[in-house]
Amino acid sequence: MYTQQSQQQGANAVSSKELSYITDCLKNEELLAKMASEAISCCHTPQLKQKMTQIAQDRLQHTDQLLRTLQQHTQLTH
Amino acid sequence: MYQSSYGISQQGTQQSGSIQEQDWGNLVLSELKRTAREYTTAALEATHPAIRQAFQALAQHTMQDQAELFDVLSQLNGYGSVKMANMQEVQQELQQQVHKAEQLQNLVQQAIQSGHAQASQANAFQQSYTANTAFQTGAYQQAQQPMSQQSFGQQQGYGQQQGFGSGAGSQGYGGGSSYSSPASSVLNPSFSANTGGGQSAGSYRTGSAQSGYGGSLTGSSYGSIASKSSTEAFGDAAEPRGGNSYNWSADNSNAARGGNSYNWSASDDTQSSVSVDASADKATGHNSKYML
Repeated sequence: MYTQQSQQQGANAVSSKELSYITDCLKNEELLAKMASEAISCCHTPQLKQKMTQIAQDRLQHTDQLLRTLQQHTQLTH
Repeated sequence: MYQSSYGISQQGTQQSGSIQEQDWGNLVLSELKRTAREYTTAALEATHPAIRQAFQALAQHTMQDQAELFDVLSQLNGYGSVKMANMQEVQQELQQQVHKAEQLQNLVQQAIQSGHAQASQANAFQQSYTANTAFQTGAYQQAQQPMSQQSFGQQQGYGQQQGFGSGAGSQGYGGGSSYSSPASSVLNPSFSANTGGGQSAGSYRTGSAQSGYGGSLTGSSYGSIASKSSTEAFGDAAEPRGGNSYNWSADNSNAARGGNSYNWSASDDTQSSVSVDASADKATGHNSKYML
């Protein structure tokens, strides 16, 4: 939802609210990744272990994606 | 903040040493849910399309992870049994909600109609529609064979709803073939009647073939609705009205109804314009949207 204000500031600028959400989500992903990593060593069932591994890896991907999104918009505003 | 509480739970874990792998599973599951919720909120709040899309994608992926983890935990019996809802309660609730949805639709249709109706057309229809015994009888006879007609796709679809016990008022709907309304003309029904009202095809739309619905009405086929009079003109035929949305009322719920739900009055009411009764609690089967 583009507003005129945001267009004036730059079409790809990130609002402060969006920045806050991205920051929060990065924290969430970090926490989840740590929890899943911890769970891998605690789980003995192969199925669960595998799932936790996948979840931990997915969290890393998400972290990358969030960082990339933030980076893209930061670069374009300069 | 959350990290600190997480640290506390870790200490508790070390002290008790009782966290099992299933506990870990549930912990991660809860965290996935929370993360997905935050992604959803972030997507809703985001103003930048690309960022919104990114949040959406991440939310979707997180939910997928959550579902997969839930499946694993369910297979390991690590997640409590999920109690199924009582089928009777489900059906009862479904029936109530269908009625409510129908009433809501009537309300919306009335609002739309009153918003767009033209007074001149409304007057024309008030004068044009008088009861037609022949048509009524034909429609009723058709209604005696629910689900046996093939010409009424829309109402046949609704006929399936009878399985949910939506009341006797809808009994006739399955075979409501007296209105051979094409599937694409739900909102602009035309009478290409293949029963008694056949000669009046198109009169609802144009208001020109008024004689097709003239004549007296014995009302014997619909005894219980004899006292019902029209309260509202079936104003503009071009208005988006369901071909079967007319004047359902509580007091005619016991009568078998044909595909038409028009307010035929036994007293041959001179104001026998077709009307909608939004307050009908027994509103039944007038819209195929609620096919079940």
